[in-house]
Amino acid sequence: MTAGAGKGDDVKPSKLPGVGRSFLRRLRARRAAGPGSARHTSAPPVRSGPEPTPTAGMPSTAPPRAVPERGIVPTTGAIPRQSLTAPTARTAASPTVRDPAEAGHPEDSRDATWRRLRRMGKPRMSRSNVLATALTLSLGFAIATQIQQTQETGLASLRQDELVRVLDDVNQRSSRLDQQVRELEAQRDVLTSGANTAAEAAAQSQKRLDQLSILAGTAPARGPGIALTISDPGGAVRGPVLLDVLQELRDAGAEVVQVGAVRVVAGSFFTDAGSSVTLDGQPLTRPYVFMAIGDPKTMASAMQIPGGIVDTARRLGANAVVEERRIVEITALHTPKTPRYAQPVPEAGSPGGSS
Amino acid sequence: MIPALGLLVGVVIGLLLHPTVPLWLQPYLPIAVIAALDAVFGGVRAVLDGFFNDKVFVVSFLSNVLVAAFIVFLGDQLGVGSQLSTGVVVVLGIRIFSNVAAIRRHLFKA
Repeated sequence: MTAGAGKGDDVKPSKLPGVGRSFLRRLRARRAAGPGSARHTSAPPVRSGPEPTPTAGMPSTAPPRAVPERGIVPTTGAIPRQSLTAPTARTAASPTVRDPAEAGHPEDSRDATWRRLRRMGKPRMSRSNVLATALTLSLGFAIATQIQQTQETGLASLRQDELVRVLDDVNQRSSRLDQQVRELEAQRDVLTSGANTAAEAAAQSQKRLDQLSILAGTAPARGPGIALTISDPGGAVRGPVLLDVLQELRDAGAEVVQVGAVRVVAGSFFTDAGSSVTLDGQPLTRPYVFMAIGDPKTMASAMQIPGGIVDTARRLGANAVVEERRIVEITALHTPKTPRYAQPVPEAGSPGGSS
Repeated sequence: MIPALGLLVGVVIGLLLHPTVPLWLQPYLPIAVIAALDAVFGGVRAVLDGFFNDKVFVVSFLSNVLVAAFIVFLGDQLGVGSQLSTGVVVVLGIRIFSNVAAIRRHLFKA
C-alpha cells in the first residue's frame, strides 16, 4: 500500500528529469493562483504523510508549494480530514480565500485537465503502455472472475444472522421430516404386523397341511425309525399277524408306516388272499418289510419284548429281524379316495359339537 | 485510453470464459483486485495531475498487488487473516475514495 500511497508522489521524482518539470511548473502556478484547483482539495489523511518526501527530493518545488499550503490548510484542512464528502462545504468556504485571486482561472485549469485527459487518451504504443494495458486487462479479468466466484460461493460468504436463519430453516425442515419418519414407521409397523399374521397363518396352514398329508399318506416322509423284515418261508405269517405287527408299531409310537411298497394309512386293511396277504388290495410279497418312522429304540424294543412280534414270528417258524436306522425314507404314497357317504360338518359347528 | 479499453476487454473475457479461481488463489484475489483498483485510480489521478508515467503505473500496480497479497498471506500465517484483510480493504478503500475525490475535483471542480 505504500507503493500506492507513493503513486502520486513517486511520479514526481521520476518525471523530474524529463517533461515533468514543465508540469510541475504549471502546477505550481495553478496552485499559487487558486486553492480551488490545487491538489490540496484532494489532500486526504493519506497524503499528509508522503507529502514531505517530494519536498525533500525537490527543493525547488518545495517553497512555492509550502506557502499556499500553509495558507489554506488552517482554514479548510479540518474538513477533508473528517469526511470525503466535504468538497461542497469546502467550496462554500473557499471563496473567501479565492476571492482575491482571479475568478476565471478554474475554467482554464478545467480545460487544461480535459486536454490532458484527451492527450493521455490518445493511443500510444510504447512498451510501458502495452504493459499497463496488459495489467488492466488482467485486472478486469480478475474482477469478473472474482465477482462470479463470489456469486457462486454458497454458505461460506453468508453473514452470521443469515447463517442462523438458514440453520433455523434446516432445523424446522429436519423436525418436519422426523415427524414424517415417525408416521411412516408406524405405518410400516402396522403393515409388517399384518404381513406377520398372514405369514404366521400361512405357516400354521402349511404345518397342518404337512401333518395331514403325512397322516393321509399323500406326502413322502423321512426320519429316524426301524426296518422290520419278516422272512416267512413257510407262509405261516398271515394277515392277523401282520395286523398285530402294525398295531404294535403304532403302539410304540410309529408315525408313518410302509409295508412293502404300500403306505399304511388310517383306512388300511390286511386281507388274506389265498396263500398271500394283501394290504389295501395290493398283494404283499415275502419277505414282508415294515418301514416305520418313530423312536427307533422304543419300536425296536417293542418288537423284541418276550411275547412280542419277534417271538411270535419265531414260534410260527418265521424269522423277524429288527434294524434300527437313523434315516428311514418312506416314499410310497397313498391316493386318497373321495368319500362317497361321509360329509364334513361345517367348521363353525364343529367346536360346539366337540365341546 | 488503451489501458482503459484493456480493463473493459478483461471484464468481458472474464465474463465469457467464466473461469474458476484456483483454491490457493482464493484468499488473495479479492484483496489483489482492490489493490490493483487503487493503483488504477491513482494512475487516473496522476493523468489528471499531469505527471502520469507508464512505468510508475506498472510498478505501482504490481507492487500494490504483491504487497496486498503478501499482507493477506502473512495474516493467514499469523492467524489474523480476516482482520488483516479487512484492514487492507479499509486502507485501500480510503485511498480509492481520496483518489476518486481528486479525480472528481479535477474533472468537475466539485
